[in-house]
Amino acid sequence: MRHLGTVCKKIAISAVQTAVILIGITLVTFFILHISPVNPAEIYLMGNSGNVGQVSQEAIEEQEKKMGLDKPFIVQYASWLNNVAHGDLGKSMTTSKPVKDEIAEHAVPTAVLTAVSLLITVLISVPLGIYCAVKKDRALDNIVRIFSFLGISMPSFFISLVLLWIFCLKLQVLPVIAQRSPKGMILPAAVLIIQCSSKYIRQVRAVVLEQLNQEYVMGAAARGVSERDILFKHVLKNSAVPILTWCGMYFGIMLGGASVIETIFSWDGLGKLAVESVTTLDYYMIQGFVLWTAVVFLIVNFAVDVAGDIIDPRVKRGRI
Amino acid sequence: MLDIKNLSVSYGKTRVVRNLSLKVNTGEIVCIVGESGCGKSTALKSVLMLDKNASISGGEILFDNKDITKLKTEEIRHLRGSEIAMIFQNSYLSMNPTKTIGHLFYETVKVHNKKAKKNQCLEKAEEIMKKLRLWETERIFSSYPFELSGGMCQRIAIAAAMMNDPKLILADEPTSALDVTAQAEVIRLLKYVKDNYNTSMLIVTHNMGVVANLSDKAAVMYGGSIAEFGDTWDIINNPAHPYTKALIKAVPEMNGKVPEGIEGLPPEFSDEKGGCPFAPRCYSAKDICYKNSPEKHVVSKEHIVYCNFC
Repeated sequence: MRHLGTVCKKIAISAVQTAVILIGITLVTFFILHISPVNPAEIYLMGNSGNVGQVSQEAIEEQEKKMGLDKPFIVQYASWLNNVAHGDLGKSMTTSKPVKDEIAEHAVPTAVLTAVSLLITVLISVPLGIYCAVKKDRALDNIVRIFSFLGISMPSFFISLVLLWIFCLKLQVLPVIAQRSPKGMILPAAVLIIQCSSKYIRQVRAVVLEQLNQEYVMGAAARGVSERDILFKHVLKNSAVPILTWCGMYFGIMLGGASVIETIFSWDGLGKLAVESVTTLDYYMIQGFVLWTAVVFLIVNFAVDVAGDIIDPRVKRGRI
Repeated sequence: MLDIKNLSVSYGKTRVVRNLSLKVNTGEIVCIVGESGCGKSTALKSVLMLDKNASISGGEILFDNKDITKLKTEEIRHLRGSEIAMIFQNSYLSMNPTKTIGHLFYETVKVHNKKAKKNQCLEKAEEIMKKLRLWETERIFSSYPFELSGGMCQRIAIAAAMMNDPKLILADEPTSALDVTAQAEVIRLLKYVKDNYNTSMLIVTHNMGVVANLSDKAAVMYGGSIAEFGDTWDIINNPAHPYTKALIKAVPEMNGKVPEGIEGLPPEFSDEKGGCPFAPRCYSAKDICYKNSPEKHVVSKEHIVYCNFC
């Protein structure tokens, strides 16, 4: 019962925190867009008529009134927030489709890319990270270290271009423009996997190594527990929470859409949508995208938190 | 039962334990006493080959006439926790924070006997704990180490060490991390175990009080080797080695006097010179002490000292 009580309390606290964070994030984005020198009304009119620079001042002012841009900042924000609370994220200024639908549509390719990339990243990084921690400074650890550093130091656009050059131009085994097909997903997924695994392997290694150096490891050895059991039953159990937390981070990052990678490979996901919205200053689209990313991270964080509660008794007993 | 002969233990190229010889007979408590960094913990851990960074560079460790240094990994594992148990300075830290105490007792038996049943293990643990005056066993079994006090964890560690009826218990500074009342309790428990189970013990400590209260024999260690070894009261009442004398004088008493320390610092292990390791701090050192290794002198039966002038 004590356990249930603490969990309920935690959920209540998280809910309040979530609300505060969401309001904070959207307020900041709203403010940044508000102070940007570009007038959304002008963009809207230009986008509709296609006549650049030929929109009259009167038309702009009229449009501003329509969009509520003549009202004070805080009123604008409040009305946006009110709409969001009613499930209305506004309409895209470029396509005139509801932002909600746009995000939903683009979320599918991103989700597919995320699922495949994250799964492979975890399958590579966790076993390799554990192995490198156990066999510290041996041959494989050193090789992995070199590749990790390479992967971490190279920006994603560079890795993307190198892979494009090798597989699409030189070997010509993969298409340059990724359609929504499994074949087209190989390269963007590969870049994501290289980028995330390079970091994740090192993080897993560090977490496991920290646990291996704890005194309880020698304590267990002195009671006759075999090295194998110490690793699997003690060390890995205690490493699970931080390893899971990192995994959640990557999940959030990937699900937010990898802008550069999706743009380079023309993968029609959220990352690409976000880049397009920013270049066209699609006001409500950007807001909607920021909200989506924030919500994804908050949900992932919360899920990881709850999983941690279940795994680690120190949280369960209200010690942390 | 335990006979360490000319043992040398090294970290890389640095010899930390140098030609150490020590004997523990059945039902006997031997204390190794010395300043921090004299190699006493390293020597103790090497009995179970627990320190992965340390390597045995010479000598042998005979336990029931088997040389532990020549055993295979799996054979050593079978000794650990069953025939030879170990108690650490911070038992609280030497227990996995995410496993309950009940699991600790169960696992200690299970790793040596695959058929062990959990409830039988806990029944045995309860029996031992009652004898060691640990009540509320149910609550303790379902607790995690971080929910118990340091003194409680230390007493539990002693109970856990007894789970497989070991012939020998190694204890590394078992009282150092505790307050005085908990120290007294741990000393009492170790004595109880020895008297009732006839278990031998090798205890490392820097506390002369523990030596005097607990041990049958004492080994004074300095610079990686034994300086003096013998019957505890013989050593306390008639110390022969200048270091032992200084060590006994350095014990604080409850009379308001500030105890005398020993000038200088313990030797660095990296520079291995010839001669007596204590010579630079010894008030009666002569030239010969810097050149020749100290000779073994027999003061009386079972009381030996390594010094050129004793």
